Amino acid sequence: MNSDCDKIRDGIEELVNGTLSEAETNAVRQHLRECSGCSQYAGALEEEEQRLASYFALFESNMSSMEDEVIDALERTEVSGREKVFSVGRDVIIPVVAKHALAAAVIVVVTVYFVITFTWISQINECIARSM
Amino acid sequence: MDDFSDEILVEASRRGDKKAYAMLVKRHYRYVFAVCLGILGNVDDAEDIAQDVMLKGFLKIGKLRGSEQFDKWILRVARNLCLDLLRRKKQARAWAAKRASRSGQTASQNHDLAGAIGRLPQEIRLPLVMYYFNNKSLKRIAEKLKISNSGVCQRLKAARKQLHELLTKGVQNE
Repeated sequence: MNSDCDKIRDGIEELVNGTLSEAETNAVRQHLRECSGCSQYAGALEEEEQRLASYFALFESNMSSMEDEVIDALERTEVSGREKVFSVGRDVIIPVVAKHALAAAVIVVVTVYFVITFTWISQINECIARSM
Repeated sequence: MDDFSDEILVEASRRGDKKAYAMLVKRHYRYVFAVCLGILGNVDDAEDIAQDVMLKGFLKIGKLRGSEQFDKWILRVARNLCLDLLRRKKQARAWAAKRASRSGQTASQNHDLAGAIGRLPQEIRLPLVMYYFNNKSLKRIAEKLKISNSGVCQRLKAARKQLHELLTKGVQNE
């Protein structure tokens, strides 16, 4: 590996991405004919590019059925009936009404807790006062 | 309905027209999925979140200002939902790591391509995934990610380099 190799390897990555100009491509190809290390690196990147392309092509072939799944879920979605809570995948979409109801319930529970606790403490204090 | 612009389909969707929104799904789902896969690096999560994004888009379409901006808006929704999930996962991971360190477990190595893609940093994984979902057009990726062409080019180069290292040298134990 000589001093040009680092620069050439940058070029190899661009060559695989298809973003290298014609003049630069010629310079890189010339270097590859002379340098086995860079030539090996280029071969590996090209092989990885093919693996990546095949990997992502799998999604392309399933894209239509994935879209259909969304459309099926869409069909089950109520447009005006947003009172309903529905779950899709791992995310749960909770309508505003449900959030408000939950907040109100929390406030009621906390208030009841404090009232009961306060009453209980008052009764204890009363008992202590009577016994003294 | 195939010939209708996004603008018309968005207006119809606002009135609850599911067929119109289904057309928007057919047009934009692939890009939403690509963004989700690029950010999350996990196919199952990407599928779940992409579906949620599209459905949330239908329910929230009334909030979209400028019907012609649907493509940008839906990608923004996708990005936000993915980042929410990552935040939740980060918390869960921190908790799991504590447990693993207590029991002496180590993270397992993953040498396959999907695993290596998942291990790339998000900022370079996203352009790499988008590259394959946008017919390898740097211009379209740049538009969708709102970065320059040379920015996309640099990130793709970095992604190739790091992916090669992950695939050849193997993933280091965490």
